[in-house]
Amino acid sequence: MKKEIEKILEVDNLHVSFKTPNGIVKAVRGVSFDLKKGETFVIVGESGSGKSVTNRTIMGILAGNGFVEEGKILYRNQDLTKLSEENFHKIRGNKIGMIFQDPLSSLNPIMRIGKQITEAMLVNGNRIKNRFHDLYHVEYHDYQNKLYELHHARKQMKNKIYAVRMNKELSIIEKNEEIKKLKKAFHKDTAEMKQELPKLKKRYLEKKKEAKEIIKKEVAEIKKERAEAIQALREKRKAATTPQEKLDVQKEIAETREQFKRRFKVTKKEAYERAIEIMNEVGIPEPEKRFYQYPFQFSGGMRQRIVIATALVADPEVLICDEPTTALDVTIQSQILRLIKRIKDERNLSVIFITHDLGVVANVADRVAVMYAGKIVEYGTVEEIFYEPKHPYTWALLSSVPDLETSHRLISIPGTPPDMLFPPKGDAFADRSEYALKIDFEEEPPFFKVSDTHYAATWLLHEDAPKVEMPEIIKGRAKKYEEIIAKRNEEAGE
Amino acid sequence: MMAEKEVILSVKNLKQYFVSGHGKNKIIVKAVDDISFDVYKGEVFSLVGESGCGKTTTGRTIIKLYKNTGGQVFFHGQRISANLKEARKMYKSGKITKEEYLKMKRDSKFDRVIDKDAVKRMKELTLDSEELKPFVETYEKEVTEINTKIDEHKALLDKTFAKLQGSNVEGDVKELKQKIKNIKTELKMLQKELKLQDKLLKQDVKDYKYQQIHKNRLLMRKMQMIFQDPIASLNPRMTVKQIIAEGLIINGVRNSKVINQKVKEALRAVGLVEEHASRYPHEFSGGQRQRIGIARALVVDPTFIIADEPISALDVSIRAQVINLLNDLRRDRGITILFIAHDLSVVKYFSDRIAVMYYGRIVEIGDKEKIFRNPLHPYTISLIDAIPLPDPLYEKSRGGLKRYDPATAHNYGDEQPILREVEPDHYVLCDEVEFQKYQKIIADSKK
Repeated sequence: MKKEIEKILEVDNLHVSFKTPNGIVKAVRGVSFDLKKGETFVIVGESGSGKSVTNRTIMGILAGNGFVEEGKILYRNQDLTKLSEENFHKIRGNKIGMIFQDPLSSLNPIMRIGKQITEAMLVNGNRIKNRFHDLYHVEYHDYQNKLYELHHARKQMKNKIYAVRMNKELSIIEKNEEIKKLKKAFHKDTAEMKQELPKLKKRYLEKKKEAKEIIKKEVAEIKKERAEAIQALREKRKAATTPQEKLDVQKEIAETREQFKRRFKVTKKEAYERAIEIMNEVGIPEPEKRFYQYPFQFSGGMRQRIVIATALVADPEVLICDEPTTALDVTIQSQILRLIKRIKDERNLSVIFITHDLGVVANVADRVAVMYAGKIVEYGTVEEIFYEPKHPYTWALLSSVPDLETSHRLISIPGTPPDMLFPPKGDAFADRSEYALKIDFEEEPPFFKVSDTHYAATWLLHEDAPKVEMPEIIKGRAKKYEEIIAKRNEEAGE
Repeated sequence: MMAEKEVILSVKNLKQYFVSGHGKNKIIVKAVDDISFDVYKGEVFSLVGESGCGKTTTGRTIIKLYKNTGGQVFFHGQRISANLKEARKMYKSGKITKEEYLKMKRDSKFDRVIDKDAVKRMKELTLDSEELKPFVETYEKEVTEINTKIDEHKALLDKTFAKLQGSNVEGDVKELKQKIKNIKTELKMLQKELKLQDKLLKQDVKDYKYQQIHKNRLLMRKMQMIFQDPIASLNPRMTVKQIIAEGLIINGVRNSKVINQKVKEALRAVGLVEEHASRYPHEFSGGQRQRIGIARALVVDPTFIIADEPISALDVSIRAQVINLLNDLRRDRGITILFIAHDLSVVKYFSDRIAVMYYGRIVEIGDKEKIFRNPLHPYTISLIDAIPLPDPLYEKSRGGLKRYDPATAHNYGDEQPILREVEPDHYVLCDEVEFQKYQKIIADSKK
């Protein structure tokens, strides 16, 4: 058996909706997937299929009217959907980095590149403060989470009361009774919580006090060390005879000062060094000169490299790329894809990649999920998705792309994606599919297992369903490319 | 071999420079630098290149959104664009005669020029003249029909009056009075229609005169453009009908019947329904919006469309729809398309001939098949190599990146590279040494 690869991120039955004046838009309706260490997971789909919303939820940057209805996002046993904003700061950017579609609008036009790369480092750079927070982190967040839970429960109760008030079938007396009942239930449920709160608070404050003591001691120690070291150097300077020696010692003093400073916080010099290192890594030539330039002095590809650099500075574990190459040219696109792949291998990153370009998918992906109308309709490894797709939507997507050999009329998908204000019953793609069965309009298909890694949600895989072959184009394509690859290998061999 | 193909658009030494700053800080950006090409009737001609290579600027200069810095553009054999400064220089150096200079001067603001002879002639025109006879004839028939009807009604009216005076029975009188009333209203209706016919005739004559006087402007309208961004290119405060009809109204069509008819036809041609005409752009999806953009271009019956990356902003599944639509239009209406794109797989599928641009210059131009079979210029090779293809095995077995760097790729001495024909209908920008090399490659591939 192969060794189980560690799962980094798990999304479980995620539902995300948006409140709009016209009603509630159900953008994501039950998405589940997991991300393994060191793999690239690609989500493909049309715009409006909910792929960006899923990833924004993972990052915790949903728009103000969006909310998670149901489901979990597990990252190291923490549920990201229930994390308080303060807690999220520790994760967002530090552990999970994100690259956006448009490199121009994700950079500040009136700020030098260097400052933008180092900004996060310097802002979060107070090492003493970070250590202090770390010391009572667990207790503090236990307390905060409890508070949030209480807040959440209260909010839900209020929503329920609102629903009762708006119910036209009840009379006022009935309504009041109902509301009283709800309030009672709420107080009963939260009584335990409320009792626990003061205890938690006390524990957290005590821990904080302890931490303060420890930090004070540490700081005093460092200061003492520094004083001793510098005193020794000063004496050395006094003992020095030639001016050259004196100068050397002077330099040494400056250096030790810097070293001790770095134990307190990230210094500007340190940030600069780190930024140059990262800029070299993402392939920006002459980083020392580029450090002081503005975004408009960069070309599109270089800008995207800068954005990647800013994401990499904090050493994230997971990188989310939201269509990073859509705004770029083909030649630049292939460079950026190469860069992302190289970085992924070097740092053993896990990457979630969003795109609608199937060529890009074929290039970067290890595993692929095809999304449609807020749901994953099929997922599997790249080879499985491209050579043995099972879902009609995947078929349609694959056959609508022209490649260099296409000469027949392009097969387009008729109609438009469904309105997510009123998500369709049954299979969402049934309206546009020529393979739709009667049951597709009535009942939602579950995931049918094709292989250990390959699942598809379509009734066509049910044992009672009529056997439908996938379109000829996809079948023919695999064979055609085999020939092309063989030919190219031959040429390379010559 | 091939029959003589009709040239619909011919670009000669087109230049478009953008100047910024003054004096010491003056910067001249050569967005389009001396390019020439012909587009034949009924074909799709593609301009390919990275962003910033001047392909969009070329399209916009051709349709006169920019004033060109140099060179000329011919459309249906008419020069539609010339540069005044250049013309003056040529005249002073004695390259062209004064007559030609004046002509060029006039063509530099081609679409605003009014045909003065036509104005004179149109003033003298009356309804009796030979030129307007077809218009009068179309209405004559209907007018006579209505006139006979009016006569009939009048006769009937007289008769009933006579009857009324003769009769005494109360019931009959009431009935007859009612009848007279009916006939009178009908008469009024008919007279109204007669007036309407008169109005329509006047409108048609007006339209005809407008067309005669503004021939240049109407020729320019035969060239239309489709833009990249379907959201930004439609005015959110106008209904679809207003958006589509705007072109007609600017062209001098005032007859609302005709406008409605044409809008309907244009909507149907792009696969939309008539009911869509009263909606606003935000009610449509991206693909439908792009269709509206195409309908707006189609409504004035163009012979030539400049499509500026019409599918770049669309989703994969909708791209196929729009490409199929453009393909149908080309087949059914014989429209010529100048297709500007950077996606080579679509270009390969869609176009007949291709020009590859790099920093304002065309580096390779010719037949699609020939270029894709034997890409010669290193830039073309790097472009074709970078296309991502929907096949994981192919993508994963990709070799090293072929990047084009003009400093290392060429070794031009004093000799400046020019476009040379390496095989029929396949030109490459190269010097003599490269030319020999390329010809050898072509000869090898034919074996």
